[in-house]
Amino acid sequence: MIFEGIALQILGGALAISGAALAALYLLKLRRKRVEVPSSLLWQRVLRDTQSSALLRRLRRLLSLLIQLALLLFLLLALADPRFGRRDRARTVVLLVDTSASMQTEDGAGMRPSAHATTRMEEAKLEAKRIVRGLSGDSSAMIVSLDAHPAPVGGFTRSADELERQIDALKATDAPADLVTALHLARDAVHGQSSPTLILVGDGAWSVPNGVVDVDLSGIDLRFASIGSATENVGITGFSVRRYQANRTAYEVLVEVESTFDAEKKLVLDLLQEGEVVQTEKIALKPNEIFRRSYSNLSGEGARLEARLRPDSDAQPLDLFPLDDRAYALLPSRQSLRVLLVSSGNLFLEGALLLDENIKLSKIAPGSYGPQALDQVDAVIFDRFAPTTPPEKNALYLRPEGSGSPFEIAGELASPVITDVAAGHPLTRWVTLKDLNIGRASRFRLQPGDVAVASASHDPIVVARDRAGRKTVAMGFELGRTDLPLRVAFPVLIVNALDWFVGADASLKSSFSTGKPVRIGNSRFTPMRVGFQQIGGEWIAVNLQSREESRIRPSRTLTLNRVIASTPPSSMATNWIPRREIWASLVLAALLLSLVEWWTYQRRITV
Amino acid sequence: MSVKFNESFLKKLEYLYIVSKKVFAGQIRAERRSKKTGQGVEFADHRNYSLGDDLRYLDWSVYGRLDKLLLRLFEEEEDLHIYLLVDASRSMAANGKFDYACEVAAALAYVGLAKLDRVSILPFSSELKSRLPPARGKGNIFKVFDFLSGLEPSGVTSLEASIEAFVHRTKRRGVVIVLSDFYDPAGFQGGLDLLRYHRFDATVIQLYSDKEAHPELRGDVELIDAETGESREVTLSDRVLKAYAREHEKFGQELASFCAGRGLPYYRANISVPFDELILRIFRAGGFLQ
Repeated sequence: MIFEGIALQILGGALAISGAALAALYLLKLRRKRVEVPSSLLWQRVLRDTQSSALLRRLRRLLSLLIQLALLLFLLLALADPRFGRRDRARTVVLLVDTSASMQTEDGAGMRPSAHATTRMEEAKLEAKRIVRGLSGDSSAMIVSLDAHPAPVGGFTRSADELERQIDALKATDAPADLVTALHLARDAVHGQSSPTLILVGDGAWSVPNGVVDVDLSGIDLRFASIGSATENVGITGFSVRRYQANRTAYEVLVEVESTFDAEKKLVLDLLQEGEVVQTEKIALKPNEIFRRSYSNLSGEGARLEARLRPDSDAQPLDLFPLDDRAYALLPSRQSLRVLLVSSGNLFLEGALLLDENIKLSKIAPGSYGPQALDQVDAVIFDRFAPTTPPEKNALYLRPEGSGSPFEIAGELASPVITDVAAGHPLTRWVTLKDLNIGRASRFRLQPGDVAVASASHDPIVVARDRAGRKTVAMGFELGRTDLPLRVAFPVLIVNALDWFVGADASLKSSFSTGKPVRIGNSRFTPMRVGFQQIGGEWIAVNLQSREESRIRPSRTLTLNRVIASTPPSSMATNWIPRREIWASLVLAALLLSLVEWWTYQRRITV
Repeated sequence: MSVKFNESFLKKLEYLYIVSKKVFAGQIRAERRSKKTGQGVEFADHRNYSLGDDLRYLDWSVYGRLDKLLLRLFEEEEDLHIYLLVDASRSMAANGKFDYACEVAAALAYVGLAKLDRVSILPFSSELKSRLPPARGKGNIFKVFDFLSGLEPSGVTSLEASIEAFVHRTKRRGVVIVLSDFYDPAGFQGGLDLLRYHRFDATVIQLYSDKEAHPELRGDVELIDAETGESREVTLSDRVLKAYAREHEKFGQELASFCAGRGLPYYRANISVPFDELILRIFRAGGFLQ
C-alpha cells in the first residue's frame, strides 16, 4: 500500500495527538442536569432492573471511545489517500487516443451491422480506461486526442477518475489523423520525465510512409493497442465539380470511389443537385478497385451537389463506415458581366468577348468616352486608349499610352520574349504565353502591390493591380503586333481577366477536405465535419476524401522508426499493479461509524 | 400550602354534602351505627358467657334449647369518629399533591362535620405531627381550614411509625382515611395492618400526578430524592422511562391488591382530576360514610 496524501510519519503523529485528545475528553466527567423527584423509591427499582453492572457500563463507554477512535483513524487515513499496489517506478504516460474519422466505423463488440453496434471510438475509450486503471499509483498520464489537430484533453494527472472523465469527453471527428504532429506533441510532453511512455490506442489508419516519422522517439516506451476488426469498405475518395467555360449553365462532375472489399461489390452511385437526383449509375467494383468517372453536361438549379453510394439491394447496409458513402460539392456561382469596350475597332477582341455568353458587351469610340459611359458597366476595356482620368471601374488596358496609363511606362521593348509568367495568378490560368511573338511592347514600372503577370527579362509587359477594390490589368502590346489573337490562349486570357474582375474565381474549389486548412477571404480555418458549412457568409462543401481513413482495415502492429510498439500495459499485470483509490471508502466508513455512534448515543447504549 | 379555602370552596363543599345526602337518602344524623357492640337496643350477635359478664344479657331461651350460656350482644349507638391521616411529608409537596390532599381532607371533614360526626385531622410524615382535635358540627369547618392552611409538607415518610403512634394515642375507634402517596421506603403494609389490627375502619386514598407516572425527562440527569436528598446519576432513555412507568403502575396495583385482600376501601386519585369528582366517586362506591 502506498500513501499519496500526507506522509505516514505525519499520519502517525496526527493520530497519536488527536487520539490522546479524544481519550482525554472521554475522561472528563459529564455534567448532568439535577432533577428533584418526589421519591427515588421507584427509580431505584427500575434502575436495579435496567442498569447493567458497572463493568458493563464501563465497557459500553469504552465501545463508544473505540468507535470514535476508529472514526478518527478512517478520516486521517482518507487524508493520507492510501492506494493498493506497490510503488513501482513512476511512469509519465501520454495516451494518444485515435479520434480520426475511421474511428466511426461501426465494428465494435460483436461487429453487428445494426443501429446498436458500438463504434471503434467507444471500443477505444474502453481500452483507454482499462489502461488508465492499470497504471501504477504514482504514474501520471495525459490524454491526447489524435485527429487532424492533436491536442491534450487535460494536463498530466495521477487521478484515474479525472483521466476517465477526459476519455469520456473524446469524440470521433470526420477528419484524418495527423500522427506526426501528435508524436511531436507527445515527445515534447514526456521529454525529461521519468519512464516516458507513449501509448497509442486506435485502428492504425494513419499516414506513415514506410513507418518512418521525423520524430525522435528514442528512450520512449512505445506501445500500441489495436482497435477494430472490420476490413472491407467502399467510399467516395474524390468528388469535384466545375462549370464549363463556354457554357456556364452546364457542369461536369468527377467522382472517385474506392473499394477495399475482397470480392466484387455492386452498388449504386447517385448524383443529386439540391436533393434532386440528376444522375444515377449502377457500379460493380472489382476487389480493391479505384473507380473514377466524370459525368459531363449536367445541369440543374442550385449549387449544392451530393454524391451518394447505396447498396445495390436494400437487404444489407453498404458497409460499416458510412461517413465516406456521401460526398458534397458546391458549383461555382454564375455571374453575368457588363463590359464596355472603348476602341476604334478590334475584331480579335470583339470576337473573344463574344465567346462568353455571360458577357454583355457595349462598344463606344474613344472620342465618345466620358465618365457617364461607365454608369451601367462592371468593367471597361481600353484598346490603345487611356483616359486622363482613370475610371472608377475594373479596367483592362491594351497598349496604354500617354499620361493616362495606369502603370508608368518605363520604355519600349522591341521584339520582347516573355521569360517569366506569374503562374499562380488568375490571369494565367490555363494560359501559356510561351513563344509568343510580339513586335513592340511597353515596359511598365511597377508600384508596390503590382504584379508582373508576364515579363521579358524582368521587364513587366503584362501587369495587374488590385487596389482599393478596383482591379486593373494592362498589356503593353497591341493586338495587331502580336500573334496572341491567333492563339487559343487569347480568349482564355481575356475571360480570365474579366472573371478576375468580378471575383468569379474559377480556381475556387468545389469541395474541401476535413482536417486541412481552408482560406476564405481573410479568414482561415480547418473544417472537422463533412457536409455543407457556412464560413464568414460563404458556403463551402467539406468531404473526408482520405484514402487512409477509408481504408478501415485495422493495423495489428505499429512500427515507427524501426521500433515495434509493444502491447499496452493493461495486459502486463506483473509490472503494472492496478491502482485503487480507497479514500472515498474510508470516508464512507467514517460516516457509517458516525451514524453508529450517534445511534448508540441516542439509544443510550454507550453512555 | 396554596389552597384557598374561600367562599367558593365552601360552596363546593356544601354541594358535595347535599349530594351525599341524596346518595344516602333515608339516613338521618346520629343514626349511624358503629360496628362496636355495646349497650344499644339492636341485637347484633351472641358470644360465650365469661365470668364477670352482666347476667341481664344472658339469652335464657337459647340456654333452654341448647343448654349453653350465651350472651346477647347489641350494637352500640354512638357518635362516629373520623380520623383523617394526611401525609405531610416532603414527597407530597411535589406537583401539588399536598394541596390536593388538603382539599380532599377538607371536603371529607365538612361532610363528616355536617353529619355531626367527630372529625379529627392528623398530619404525619416520619411521625405524627400536631393534630386537629375532634370537632363536631359544620361550624368547625373554619377550624379545619385554618389547620390545613397552616400545614407545610416536610420530612420523610414513615407510615408505620406514624400509624403506630396514632393507634396508641387514639382510644376511640372509628373511620380512618389515609391520604398519601405511599412513597415509604419501609413499605405501606405494616402501617395499614396496624390500623386493621386495632379495629379501625381504614380507607386508603393514594394520590399521584401525571408527572410522577410519566416523567417528562430525557438524557443524562442526576435524580435528587426530595425527602432524603439522596442523588443518583442516571441516563434516561425511552426504555428506562417505559420501565419506570410500568413500575409506577405496578406500585399502584400492589397497594390496590393489598387493600382488596384486607377489605380496605382503596381509591387511586390522579390529582389532575378535580377533587370533588374523587369525593363523589367515594360516595358512589359506598365509602366510609355509610
